[in-house]
Amino acid sequence: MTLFAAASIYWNLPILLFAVSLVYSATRHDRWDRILKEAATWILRMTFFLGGLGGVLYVLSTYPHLWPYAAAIGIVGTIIYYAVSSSLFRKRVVSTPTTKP
Amino acid sequence: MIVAPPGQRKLDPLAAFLSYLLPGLGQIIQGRIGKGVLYFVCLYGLFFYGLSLGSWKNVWLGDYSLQTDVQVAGKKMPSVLKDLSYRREFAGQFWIGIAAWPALVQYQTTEPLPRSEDPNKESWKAKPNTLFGEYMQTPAESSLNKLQRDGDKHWDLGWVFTVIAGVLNILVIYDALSGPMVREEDEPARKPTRGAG
Repeated sequence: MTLFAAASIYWNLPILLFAVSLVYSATRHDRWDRILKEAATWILRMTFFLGGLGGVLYVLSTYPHLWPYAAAIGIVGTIIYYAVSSSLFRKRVVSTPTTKP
Repeated sequence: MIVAPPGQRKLDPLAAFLSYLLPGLGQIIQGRIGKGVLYFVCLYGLFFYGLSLGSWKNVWLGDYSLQTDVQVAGKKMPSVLKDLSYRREFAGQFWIGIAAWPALVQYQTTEPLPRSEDPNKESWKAKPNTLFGEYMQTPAESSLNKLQRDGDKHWDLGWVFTVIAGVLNILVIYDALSGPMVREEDEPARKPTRGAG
């Protein structure tokens, strides 16, 4: 409760997250399915990354004596994030010809 | 339109200029209506939401001609660059287009800010513009202090929103100028090839 009451400005951040992801993705693609897929990817990436950082910093600042647990959560979270992102968000290899006919 | 032979991009400067004026307008002119509307809603939403977070007092360019000169490599910066160096946020906000133009009108018509050592600086207040009033005008020092002291950081978050909206519109302008970064012909198609849009 303290976290959210004190950090009320953070409730505005999802707006930023959605707008930035959608606009950036739309500048990379013209097809809607690709725009939405890339936007969803960026939303999840940024949410996990910033949310994870925020969570670890919150634990560290609120319960300083629990820093080994916070560090462990950070490391495990990073490993899980990369494992999940590499399987879910892996970009498809574009089969472009390497030599000209 | 955007379709061009592989390896070449057909540039569309008119669409780029229109997208500068109004985010997404260039794409709409090109027939990419959905994307144009997406850009317009997202960027204007972000910009004006940021403005409202800052109590409509976080987008302006002041006249800092009375302030200490700014030097780069031993040379004094010209007046506009000097003003931008005092108010760097506007260098990002400017790119949102017409929505930021009232700040330019106010910049041309508002008197210079007093020097920082001026005893009347705290009480200084610009005269409202006949067309825009106090909208996007350099706020009084006391007003800014109050917003930053009592605003629970909403004022600061607000200008960040407006700057991000402006900077994102540079990407939109580029999209209007030369199409998306990844063109459909560069991607493996799942459906029959369509024209851009």
